[in-house]
Amino acid sequence: MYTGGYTGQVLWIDLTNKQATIEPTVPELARLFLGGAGFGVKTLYDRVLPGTDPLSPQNTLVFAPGPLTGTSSPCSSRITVTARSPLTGAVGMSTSGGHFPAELKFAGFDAIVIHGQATEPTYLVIRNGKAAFRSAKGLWGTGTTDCQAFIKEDLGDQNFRVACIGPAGEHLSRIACVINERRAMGRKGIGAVMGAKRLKAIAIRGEAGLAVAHPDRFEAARRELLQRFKTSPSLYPEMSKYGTSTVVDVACELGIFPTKNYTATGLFAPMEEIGYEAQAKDIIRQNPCYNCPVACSQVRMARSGDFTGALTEGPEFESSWSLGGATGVTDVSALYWADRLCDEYGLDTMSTGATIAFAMELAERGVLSPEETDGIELRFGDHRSMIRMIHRIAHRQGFGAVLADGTMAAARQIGRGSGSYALHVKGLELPGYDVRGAKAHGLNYATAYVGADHNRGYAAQEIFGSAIPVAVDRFTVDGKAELCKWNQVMKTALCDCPTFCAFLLSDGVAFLRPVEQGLSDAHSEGRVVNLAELISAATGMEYSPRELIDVGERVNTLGRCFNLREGFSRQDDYLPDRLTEEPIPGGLSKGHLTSRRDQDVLLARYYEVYGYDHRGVPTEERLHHLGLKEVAEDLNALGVEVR
Amino acid sequence: MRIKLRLHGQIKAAIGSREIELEVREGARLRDLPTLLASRYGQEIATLLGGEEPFRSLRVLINGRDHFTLKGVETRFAEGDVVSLVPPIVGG
Repeated sequence: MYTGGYTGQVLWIDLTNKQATIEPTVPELARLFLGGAGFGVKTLYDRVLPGTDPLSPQNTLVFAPGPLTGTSSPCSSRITVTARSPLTGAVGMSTSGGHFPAELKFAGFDAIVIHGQATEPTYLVIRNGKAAFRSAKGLWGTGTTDCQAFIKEDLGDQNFRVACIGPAGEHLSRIACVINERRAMGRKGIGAVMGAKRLKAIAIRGEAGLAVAHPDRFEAARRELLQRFKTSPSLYPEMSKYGTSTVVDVACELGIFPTKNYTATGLFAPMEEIGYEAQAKDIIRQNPCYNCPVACSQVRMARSGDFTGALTEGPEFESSWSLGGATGVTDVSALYWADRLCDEYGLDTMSTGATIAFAMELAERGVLSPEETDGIELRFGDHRSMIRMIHRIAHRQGFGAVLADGTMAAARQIGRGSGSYALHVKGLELPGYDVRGAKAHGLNYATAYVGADHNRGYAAQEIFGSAIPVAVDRFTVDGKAELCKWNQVMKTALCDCPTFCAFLLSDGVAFLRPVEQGLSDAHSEGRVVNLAELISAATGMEYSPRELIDVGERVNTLGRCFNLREGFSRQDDYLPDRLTEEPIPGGLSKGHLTSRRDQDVLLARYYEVYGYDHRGVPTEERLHHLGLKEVAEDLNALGVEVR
Repeated sequence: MRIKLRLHGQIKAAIGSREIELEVREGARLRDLPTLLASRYGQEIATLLGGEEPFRSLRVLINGRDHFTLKGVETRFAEGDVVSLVPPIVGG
């Protein structure tokens, strides 16, 4: 049936009954949803009934790489994990790289779908097309590095690749993540879903190769891609050397590095303290993903500071922001140690730092007293209080239990007007770009089907000055709805489903064919000709550029429909009030904000270009066009009228 | 009139400062910047700015706005302008 790219098998795991079943990969699923996030969102929509408690056995976890994963395509060892998010209640979809994604394909599977709940801590062993359940009682409570090491030891094979949770996931923290090697499927609390299922880890070993359908065509398309990598002024010259740390400098320079819980953007811009130069001296090695020639991931070790010797893989830009800028912490050794602790405990660095920053602001405003925070005086810039709070969050100790479920839940529990300082969309904490100075980037925060996730529609045009597909003024709203849709659709179609590293898309020079600037269908299709050819040659399923782009729109729209089914509405597509009412206080974006009126204008146009009505509900015509006719029927049956 | 330059990466290393002030004549444009800098800091700076194709692989912000959203290299400086020279960076 499948001649390449796909293994043709999906592994279904019922933890309640300890049953593993192998089913064929459904051809229509592959054709319309491609893989990765497409498999995840479609499976979630089909299997998880409206109102399902994200921490119940009925929630479903889908681990899905894409059809390029495990082939010789560069930068394709990526995997998505999808479940109903316990943090947001919306679709929870996170991505990661490393070797784990390719290993799953080599073990014979296009995806793992997990439901039910084990009676005791369990880990799953997948080896060469077979799955087995093992007790994880002796692993419960371990950090993620030890857990991975012990599993390899127990299995007598160091070549296993392991994804696992740490104590945070076991304690059902809604900001817990899944760690594979030292990489994170970070956001939306997926670690808590694993914890609720008492699934400590998944260990995979695969020894099969993965064929491509048309080797000569595939090789030609792959070579074109690799040649383009060399034309990029940033991919090898900057990204390979410094990873994402350079983005700290860019964001600071633009005046959009949000500091002290978004109160001091531009006034406090710690480029010299935690920017790329401050971190470059500490790089001790690179740790590339499987078959990645770029190797952006850096291992750093602190040479000085309060946590001299602290070693971490990273911190990536977003972690430098959340544990540095958001909290006002400028000791890089503390930043490394906090990053490492989050990885060991299985906490999302972004939500963890953002939630502590939220608590710091409350403490500085006098809303929280030291008595309420276990005697810890939370203050911006105080790295010791940040570190102490990370320990507490991971173990749900004291005030850590309040913060362990993210800002939205913490604000509800604390009350006293604290919700005004909880900066999230749909419950997902805002990332490290102050989008008052980047309007398309902000519209993506507001509208992405997973909440405020920068990576679902990254506006490289505003953040990096990319002229692909068009050059824009980051401060204006003109044309930003169209651009946001382009970024979201391309990201899903080209990265989240096939799967490819997101950094390639932000470096359009390295990834896309050069054509004239423009957002038209013809321009967009021209840009993705080679990628459509690469995927077609790998899978033997011929995708035109248009069909490939449509995959992105289909997945994004189905994700929105899942959320509509859960009761989300237009009101959930707005940025927090701070970004609407308070201008950026300093720096080169000083004075800018995104007013409620701007958001109304952006949303109206955004819905229009996606084919949604003014409520943000896809029209019947659009759903039919995308092959989602049955979704219209579902929504109508639930009282979400499709017009 | 005076403008302020904010420097990153190799250009910062070559000039040895994060921020410098530059005296420019009335009517000076962005296209004049490589020559101005070369006269003060040496020809190497003009090369780093792109040589024959100035700013081709460099991001130029004027008061936080990408120069191509203004008038490109023809953008005229005004008193107190902040010009940022940033290497090509991606990631996030």
